[in-house]
Amino acid sequence: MQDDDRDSRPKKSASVSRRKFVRQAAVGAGVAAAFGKGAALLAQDQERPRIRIPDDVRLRETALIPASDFPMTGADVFARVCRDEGLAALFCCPGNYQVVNAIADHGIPSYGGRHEGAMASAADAFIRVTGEIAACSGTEGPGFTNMISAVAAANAARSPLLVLASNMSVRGDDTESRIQRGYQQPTTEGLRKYGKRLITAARVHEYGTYAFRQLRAGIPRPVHLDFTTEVSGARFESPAELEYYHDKTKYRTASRPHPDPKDIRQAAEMIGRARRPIIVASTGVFYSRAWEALRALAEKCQIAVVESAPMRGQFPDDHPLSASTAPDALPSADLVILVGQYCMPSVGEFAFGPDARYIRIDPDPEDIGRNLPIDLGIVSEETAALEALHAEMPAMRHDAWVAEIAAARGRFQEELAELYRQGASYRDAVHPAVIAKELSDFLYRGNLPKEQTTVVQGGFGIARYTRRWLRAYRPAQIMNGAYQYGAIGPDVGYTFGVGVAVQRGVGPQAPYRGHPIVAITGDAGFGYTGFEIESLATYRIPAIVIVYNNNSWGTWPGNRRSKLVSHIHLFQENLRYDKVAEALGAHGEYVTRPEEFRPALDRCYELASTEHIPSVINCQAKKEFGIARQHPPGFLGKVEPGCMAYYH
Amino acid sequence: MARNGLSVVRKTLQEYADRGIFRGFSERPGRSGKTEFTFLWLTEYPLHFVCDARNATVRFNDFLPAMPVKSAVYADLRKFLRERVEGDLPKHRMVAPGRAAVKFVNRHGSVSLVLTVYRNQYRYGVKAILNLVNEIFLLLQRSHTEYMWEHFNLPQE
Repeated sequence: MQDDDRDSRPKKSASVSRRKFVRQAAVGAGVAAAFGKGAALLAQDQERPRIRIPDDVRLRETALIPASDFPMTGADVFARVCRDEGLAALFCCPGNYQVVNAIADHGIPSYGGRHEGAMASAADAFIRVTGEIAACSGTEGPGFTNMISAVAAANAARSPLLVLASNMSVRGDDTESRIQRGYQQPTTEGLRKYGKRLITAARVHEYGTYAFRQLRAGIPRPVHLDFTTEVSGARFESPAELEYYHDKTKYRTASRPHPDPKDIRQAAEMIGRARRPIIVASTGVFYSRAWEALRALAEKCQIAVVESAPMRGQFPDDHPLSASTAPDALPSADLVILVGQYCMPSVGEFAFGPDARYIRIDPDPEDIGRNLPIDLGIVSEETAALEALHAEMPAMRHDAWVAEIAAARGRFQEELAELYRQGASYRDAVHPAVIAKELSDFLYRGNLPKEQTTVVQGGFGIARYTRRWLRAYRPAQIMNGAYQYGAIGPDVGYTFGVGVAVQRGVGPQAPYRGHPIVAITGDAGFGYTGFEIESLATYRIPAIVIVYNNNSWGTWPGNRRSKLVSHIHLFQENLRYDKVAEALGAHGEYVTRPEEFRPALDRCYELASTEHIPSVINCQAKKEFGIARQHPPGFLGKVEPGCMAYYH
Repeated sequence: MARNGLSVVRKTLQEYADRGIFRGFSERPGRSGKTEFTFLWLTEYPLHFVCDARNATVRFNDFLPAMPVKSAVYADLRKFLRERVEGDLPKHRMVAPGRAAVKFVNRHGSVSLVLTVYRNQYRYGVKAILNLVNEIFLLLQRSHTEYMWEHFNLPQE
């Protein structure tokens, strides 16, 4: 297993080697004897067992998949539903053993991690960049409740996440017999689309189909099933013992709502009258894979497109009609066509002016008109509506509008240049503008094809910078981590899910299979899920995790004035997240000056490309970078929709 | 003519309320023949829109608090307003000099936006000042987040 031996990787820069660190520490002590002690410690360290990936991790890819035949357990029956429905991946921690084992034994790619919450976030992220259904699982009690924050984030992002958990036995209900008891379904109330505690063994197949009917139809949101032992452990000799045991053609339909021709005609008239029409392409465009229909309509009628969603890239940022990096143009729009905007802003949250008219295209009539008043609602699946509009509309030109967007895009680039000029002037620490600009140059203006690298956009203060610089040139190139729910902790969990999606080449990631990914997080975010670096290393997911380390929560600038309060927002300074990564089997880089960032990124990318080893780049910043008056430009604001958006 | 100006202003504002852009839209007589309209729009704080038809002005009264004349944020706002009058922007983003004039009034840090209507073009004036206020709040959210946290209760997250 030499391939998996961490010490077989190329030696990194001597400036951060363990040997040099020990030597410097000893010299710093000023005692010659201490050097000898350091060398002895080093020798002792070299004799200790090395970090090593177990053989079974590698062997899982070639292991034989057992036959799925009766007699079967309830867990097996459910796993067969998952397989037949194309469940794309499972992310879990130990627990819910019968169900997890059955899913893995049915050949569904399964991954273990260090925390159920991070695994649920991984599943959510996998969904957001593939459009496929993924599952997470935990044991009853704490394993289940650990997933709750991630389920809430998935619910806010409208992710079709299958949440699984074991839940003791029916006969033990209302007791405190043994441990880990809890009522799960009330806990996910308001955080899911559908949920069920499975208590009748003969209906396990039926409830599996309930789950997938909900996950695959309408507006996606999580589905939560909890399994009692009476169900997961039940034994069935033949299908005759199961109720409602049907093929999926019998229990759900692929039919989708199509628009009323009258509505399409009215929309066409409104577009025909508009001088500056714009489409807001959101979540539904991604899940209905409507990007080709979107582009065809936009180009035929010269309608601008701006994105706002839990994932980006449904419309390429470098298209002349893209307004995602032209925030100044948004108030000019006189007609806004919201397509698949499941998470609705209220008046004033999007930048459009008070005279803009609104068309909303959405599969759910119950949601149309919520928050933002409409001038026309169209109940339809997104692709069908866009294709119908394309067929109805004559070719149109809005040259002045396109020119206005181009000018606004130019002003935004000038603004970025000024932000970078200010950020690069700080030499004693790494400013977020430096990270954002140089990462952008590396991804889009260097040796890599600009559409290649999938990025996990996490973090808080750093994200206000990187969102402005990151670009999406193809569907799901950016996973927008904090979308709507605003959780900053899941970032490394998200990285695991996106990394798995790209490694396996699932959905829109297929052309980029196997390539390294990049993730952005902060020191606060890393604190929640940083241990999943170990999961990345175990499965050899080539992810480069950039940690913006400003020694504080991003909330410090707004709460710094009272000494009684300020400390709540602070960490110890100069923490070594890179060494945490090394201790977990990954590569670490500590970047303390602006000019060190790009070489560190080059080294990490080389390791990721050639050896599939993940890295952490610990970028030492300082909390004062968030204060505009002292360290301009400070904490940045945002405009939505577009590249800066994450509320809606 | 003044009464006609008020009715145009009232009708124009009412259209926004009817479309759901404004919430809690109400009207009451103000001092010296002015009329004050109150509504919720871009933030959770009510805006006070005053029509003074005798002087051909419409204004958002004291809509930005705690903004000293010498502050960076106020300087940015004045620059923004200059660009809307003299800048090189598309016509629909400008305040046409022949149709209206616009200025800030800062009294002890409390800022009002005042638009003078020319040639009785009240409908144009109302629409122009509304679009300006929309853009002013966009500017504040984009470039002066701390001000928005402190004075408009916007989330720090």
